[in-house]
Formats: sequence, structure tokens, C-alpha cells
Amino acid sequence: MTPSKTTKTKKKKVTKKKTSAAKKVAKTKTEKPLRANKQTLKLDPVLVINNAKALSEDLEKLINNNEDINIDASAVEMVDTAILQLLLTMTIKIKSSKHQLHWINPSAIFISNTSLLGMSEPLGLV
Amino acid sequence: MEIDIDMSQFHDIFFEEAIEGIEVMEKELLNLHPGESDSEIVNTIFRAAHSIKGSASTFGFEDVGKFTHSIETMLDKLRNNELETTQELISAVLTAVDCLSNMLACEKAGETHDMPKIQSIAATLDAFSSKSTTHNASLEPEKNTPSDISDRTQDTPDDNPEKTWKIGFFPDEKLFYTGNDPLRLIRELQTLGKLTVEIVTDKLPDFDNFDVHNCYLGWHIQLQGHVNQEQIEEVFAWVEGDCKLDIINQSEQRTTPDRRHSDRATGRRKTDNEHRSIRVSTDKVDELLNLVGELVITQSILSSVCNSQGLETSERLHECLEQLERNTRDLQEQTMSIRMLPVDNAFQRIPRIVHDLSIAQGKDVTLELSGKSTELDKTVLEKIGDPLVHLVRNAIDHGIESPETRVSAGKPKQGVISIKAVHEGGHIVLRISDDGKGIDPEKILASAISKKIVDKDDNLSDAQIINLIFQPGFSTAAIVSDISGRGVGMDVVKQNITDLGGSVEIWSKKGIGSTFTIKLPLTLAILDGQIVTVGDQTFIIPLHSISETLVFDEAQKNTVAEKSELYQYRDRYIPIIRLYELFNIEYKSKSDTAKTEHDDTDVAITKNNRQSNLLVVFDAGEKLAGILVDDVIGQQQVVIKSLEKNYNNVPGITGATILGDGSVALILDLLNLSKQYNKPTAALSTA
Repeated sequence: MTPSKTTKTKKKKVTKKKTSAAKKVAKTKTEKPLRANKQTLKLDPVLVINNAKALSEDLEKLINNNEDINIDASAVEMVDTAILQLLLTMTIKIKSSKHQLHWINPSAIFISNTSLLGMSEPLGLV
Repeated sequence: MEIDIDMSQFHDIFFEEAIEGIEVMEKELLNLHPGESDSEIVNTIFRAAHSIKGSASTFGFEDVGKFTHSIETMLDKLRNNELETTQELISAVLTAVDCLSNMLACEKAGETHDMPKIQSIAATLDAFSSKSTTHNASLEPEKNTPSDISDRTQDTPDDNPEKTWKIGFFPDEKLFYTGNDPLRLIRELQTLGKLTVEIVTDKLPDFDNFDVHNCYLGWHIQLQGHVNQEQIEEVFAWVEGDCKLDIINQSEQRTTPDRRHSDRATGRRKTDNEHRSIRVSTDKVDELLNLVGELVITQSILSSVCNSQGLETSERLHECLEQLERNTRDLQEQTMSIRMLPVDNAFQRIPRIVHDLSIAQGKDVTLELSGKSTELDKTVLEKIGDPLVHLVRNAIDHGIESPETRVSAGKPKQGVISIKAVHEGGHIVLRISDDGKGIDPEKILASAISKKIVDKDDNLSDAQIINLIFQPGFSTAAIVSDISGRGVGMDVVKQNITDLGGSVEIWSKKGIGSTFTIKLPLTLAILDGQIVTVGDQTFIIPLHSISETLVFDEAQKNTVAEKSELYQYRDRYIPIIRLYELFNIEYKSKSDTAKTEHDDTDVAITKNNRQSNLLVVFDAGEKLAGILVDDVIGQQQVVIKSLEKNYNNVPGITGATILGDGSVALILDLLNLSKQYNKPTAALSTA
């Protein structure tokens, strides 16, 4: 069972035609502009201990790519402690490797569960 | 990363705990009475359902989770007095619990569910839930959020002033294996008051050394609200023994410093208790028991060798050997005690059977269980369950009369079935009694004659007639009911009990009732045996079956049809079992012992020159027989070694043991020997 789909974001084409206003908007939206080779992991709706092994393998591949990582948690409808603990240890690993981890649109359940476990700050959600 | 753990390990524990939960639900449902509202019982049932639901969802058993949710919803309404406790409702939940049990069995076996049946039962539950009279919006579970499991009868704010609790929750590394999720517990805590949660990650390994199946986190939680300690402990009840838990009342810490230590001590003591039990597979216990058995044998051999070598004169060595013997004995007793379980485990199925059968037959029956804490070896316990159920089914089906019949016979309307377990002389005795109509000897005799089990001219006492129900082939409607649905006769009940080294007796009086007395050994791993010799072989005869040992009197012997030998033992004839012939044991006269082993002048075995002159009379399930032996050496507790496992099944031999001198002694299977040589009791009596 593969819990998540790993994709590479398309490289942004920076053209000379881009207006300075557009650049300004981009800078205000992201304090640190995303690197062109950043990878995105989209989490499945149901993430429980049964999926932990498969997810950890996906995460390991991403970490081994030695790049910044985006995690899309927008579809998460159910997530348990085992999964959040895995994401926490991954977060610590990425931070120690000087790469960046960005959460994309974490769902209400994801935010609620991480908050309940006191993980919001360690995971970098706040 | 270390991620090679088989997920079935989780499943095994889940199934084990879910089955325990189902047992709790069933037991408590049977304590519910129509028209009465017992919030404690309903809460207990609800918590069990809640736990199964949560764990099922965690492990991906979605159908089980959804079905349990239907049960939980109904129970939620019941505990909020939105539903009335009726017999129909109790029966519906019991049916749902049975269905849940089947679903788990299917999941375990990897089989598909009977979805139409499941949906039909769930629809019945939902119909009950929709009948609820009031609606409490605050109880609506959120998506992905289990219902509040806290006791609805909690104190009002006036009775329970606001307090601030500091909770240290540190799960064991293997917590996830139990199907528990800290998230659920903390979410439930949240329903009790305002929560501040701080995570502890000290033990969290780095990603490369992380095992996804372990729990490395801990939490410091502050809970503020009108909450007492019991409510907090209740939330953590499901992880009792699987975590370190500290609950400290910070409000009291500030106002009454003297009690601070006491609170902490209480929390500490509880934590210590929580770690006092662990789950260990029975295979490991059996292996330990086997090794201890080997140790006992080795110790016995060591003592024997020291004695034979004249080393016993060394005082120091003598002391050490005595100490070793004491320690070994203690070790053996302690190891044996690990396998001992309360007989209550075997009683658990009984209340449900009494409940269902009495309703089905329109009978009013009450069940009285006593001695539930009496302990019995796990194997014996597992094997006694079916005979016990059969006897109780028969008691309801054929013993207890209808309420009208009872009243007209001057008896109370309600019949009583009682099961008592007691320790009696190194055995466990189970007495299953009913105050029904008793067994009718005339009916039994007529049936036995028609089945040619006895002859109409046989002069049998009432006790002998009643005991005929244990004869193979006596499966009549009078004894075996369609209710059992298995066609199992009383002979099988008796056979199962005798196979355990036990016995069963009946007392019955027409119009008064019946009592079945089952006597069982405490354990199957060791045996009190009589050591006897036949030729150059040593045998063990189970002591509990020996009636008497007497000097063989040739004059009392009769030969039937020139082959079967019978011995006149008091007022009956019993078959004589000659082990020389049965096991082809070579006979040597005493004068031959000085000859060499290869001397071809050994005396051939004949019936006239054998030296056996002692007859050991034994009772194997109401069938007496006598074994001729050369000598009786003594009595000894022996460790039973399976012959079947190490060699082959040998008829007449149940196992082997190693004696103190290192020699192997075979343990006689008296039941098998008796069957080979015996005929029906009645026939023998008239032989």
C-alpha cells in the first residue's frame, strides 16, 4: 500500500517578461522563495500505523535526494500518533541537514491532531 | 531503518484484546435487567465497545470499526437515558456482540464477512438508536473523533471544584502494539477540561534509527476543570500497565503542601502496579515448564549419583544438595503457578447460555456461580469448557421445568442452576447442580434395554441405572438435546473429563434435581504416581486412579472363553491386565539374573512361571480393572514427558518420565488399558 504520491514540482520558468510587480508578490508570499528542485509529498487521506512503514520508505527516498521537501497534508482526514511521530523525526532530520520542509495546506484534522499532541511547534506548523 | 516487523504482531494483540472486550460486553450485558438503569454497567459496556472501535479503525479493520460504531451509538443513547433498557434491547446488543465476535474471527482467518447479516443487525441497532426520546447535541461525535468515554454521572461543578492537574504520560515503547493511540487518550482528556499539552521527545531516535512501530514520545499535560482523579484515571484505564503515569493535583500542591507527597506517592504506586503484569505467550511458559522439569530430573539424578558414590558423607555437599532440592521444588511450583488461571475463565460462557436457553424455552432460570477464583491449569481449563457447557445445557433443557410445572409441583417459579468450584485434596471439584425434575431411572433403564446396553433381567440399582447415561450409544432425546446442536452424548462428556485425568459422578433424585460432580487434577504437567516393576521394566501408575493394591490370589481368578482372565474383586469380577504379555516383556527368573545377558537358557514367558503376585486395582471412569505387577517400589511425583511428541503414540502408554537413577519409566494410560480389557460394567457384574 502506497500512502502517498511523490512528485517533483515543475521548474518555474523565470522569464525576462515577468513584471517587477509579480516578483514583488512572489517575494511577499514566501519569505524564502522555493527552490526550483523542491519535491512534494502528498499525504493520503487516511494515515494510520498500518501505513507507517510505507510512508517512512517514501520519506527516506525524499530525504536521500538531499533536497528541500514540501509535504501536502491537505487531504488528510485521519492521522494517528504513530504517523505524526514519524513526521516529527523526519522534520528533525531535514532541519539538521540544513534543508527546508514546507507544509502545504494542512487539513483541519491534521492541524487539530498535531496541536492536541503538542507537536505543532516541533513540526514547524506554527 | 528498522522497519521489518510483521504487522500481524499488532493484529494478534488487537484480536486478543478485542476478544477480551467482547467478553466484558457480554458479561455486563447479562447483568443488565429490563426496566433498570445501571449507568456503571452501561459505561463499562460502552468503554469496551469504544476501545474495540478505536483499535479496529487503527489497524484498518474498517468493517469492524463501523459495526462497533453502531453498537457504541446505541449504548451512548442508553447511558444518557435516551433509551429504555428492555429485554429486546439487551438481546439486540447481545446479537450484535455475537456478530462482532464472528467478524473478528473472519478477520483473523482472512475470510469475508457475511455483510447482509451484518447490515441487518446494524440496521436493528440503528432503529433502536433512532427511537431515543431526547437529543443531546453535545454528545454528537465529531468526524474522526470518538465519543466521550467519560462517565456521564460525573459530579456537578458545585460538588467538584475546579482543579489543575499535572499529568505525566509516558507510554511504553510497545504501546502501539496494544492498539492504543495516545492521541485518543489526550482527546478524551480534552473533554474533561482545558488542556495544555507539552510533548517530550527525549527518547525520539533520529530518522535512521527510528522504528515506526514503537512509541518514543511522552507528554506533560496540564488539565484544568471540574475533574477528579478517578475521571482522569478512567481515561488512562485502557493503557494501564502499558505506560508510566503521574497524576498530580497542582491545586492541592499549592494549598495543602502536606498532601503533595501523598498524591505523588499514590501516583507512583499506581505506576508501579501498572508494570506488574506482562503478556507472555503460553508457548514460552510451556518451554520454561519443560526446562524446569528437566532441572528437577537432573537434580534427582545428581542426588542419586552422590548417594551411590558414597559422597553423602560430605556434610557440605549434603547441605548443598538439600538446598538445591528445595530451590528446584520452589522453582517448579512457581513455574506451575504461572499456568494456573481462575476457573472463572471456564464459567464465562455459562451466563450467556443460561440467558439464551431460558428465554428460548420459556423457562425462568437463575445461575449461581461460586468459587470463581479457584485456580486450574490452563490446559485443563480450556478442555473443561465444553463438558461444562454441555451439562448446563442439559440442565436447562431436561432438568429445569417450566414455571407452571414448577409451581404446580410446589417449587419456586424460578429454577436454580449452581456451579461451584472448590479445592478438595489436591484436586479441583466442580459441582453442577439443578433443582429440576431429576433423572428418571425407569426412563433411562427402558431406553438402555431398548438399545441393548443392558439386559432386562439385569438387577441394577438406581445409581447404576443413572450412570448408564455415560455409556456410548446412549444418546437419546432424554439426554442429548437438539439445543446443543452437536449431538454430543454424555459419554463424550465423560470421555473428555477422563482424558484430563478426572472423573465425573452423578447424583440425581426424581423431582428434586441432579448434581454432577467433576473431579479434576490441578495440572497435567506433573503426576503423583505409583512406581511398579514388571520384569526389567519400570512403570508409573497414576496414583489418583488406584483403588487398592492386593496380593494376587490364584483362587480368585476365573478364565472366560479360555482367554479372558477375570479376578473376583469383592462383589464383582474385574479383568486382569498382564503387562508381560501386553508389552512383550521378557521374563527372567531370579536365578537367571546371575547369568550373562547372552545366555540362551533364559526362561520363556508362560502364564505359569511369571512372578507377578501383586494386583493393582484401578478405577478408570467407573470401570475397574487390575494390573498384575512384580513389585511396588514407591510413590513419587513425576514430570510427564510426551511420548507422542518424541516417539510415537503407543496404546496403553500415556507418556514417560525420567526417574532419579536416570532410567526411563513409562506412564500407563489406564483408560486405554481399561478399554482394551473391559466390558460394560453391568455385564461384568453379572459375569
